[in-house]
Amino acid sequence: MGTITRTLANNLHHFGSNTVETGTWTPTTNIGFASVAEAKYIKIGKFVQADVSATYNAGPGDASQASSFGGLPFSGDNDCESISFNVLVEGHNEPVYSEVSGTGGSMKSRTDNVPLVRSQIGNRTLKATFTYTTDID
Amino acid sequence: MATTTAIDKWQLDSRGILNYRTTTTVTDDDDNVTSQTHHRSTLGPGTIDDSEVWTDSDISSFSTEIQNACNAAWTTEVKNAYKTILINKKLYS
Repeated sequence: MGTITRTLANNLHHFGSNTVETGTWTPTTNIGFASVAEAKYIKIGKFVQADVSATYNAGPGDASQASSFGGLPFSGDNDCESISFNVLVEGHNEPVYSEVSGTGGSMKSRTDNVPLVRSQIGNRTLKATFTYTTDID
Repeated sequence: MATTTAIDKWQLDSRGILNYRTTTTVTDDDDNVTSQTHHRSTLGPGTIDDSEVWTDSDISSFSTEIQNACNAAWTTEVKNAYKTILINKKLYS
């Protein structure tokens, strides 16, 4: 029986490659962000983790479901249906999750799977960690 | 010391989403690189508002090479397919 050699490169191979990249990104949303405290990413092979802490503008405060965000650092791969539960809209008294797709993701209630509306996000702070996979090098 | 900022890497995915990296490089007086920081961005062929009205993405600020690649990739078929994704996922800009 041979010897299994564990190296960093061997372990990272599970993610598709051993390329590691870090940096920043700019989140966008329908009503805009008044401020972005942090928006960073790390990409290891095909795996992406993007963090954000940003405060929404007030917006019109209506019932439009335009609560999604965009500007992810990498587009999700074709079959990406990644769900991120590490999502908090401070002051919104309901568990929230995000479904990453393309360049962004929707912001949905975990209670009824309905996208949040603009009156539920206006002036509030989004803190989230999105994890997903990408085909981008 | 000098600081330069430029798009040093870009790629279109199979749905026509442009992924690009802007890198800021700082060099010392001997032209040695002292630091590099990356900023990543993505841009689809267009966006929809909450009335699902489509707007083509503005790529006029990009290099001719990138503009040509996007214009070739962003066919009506690709735009329609991308619009369908945005509507289905309620990804309003």
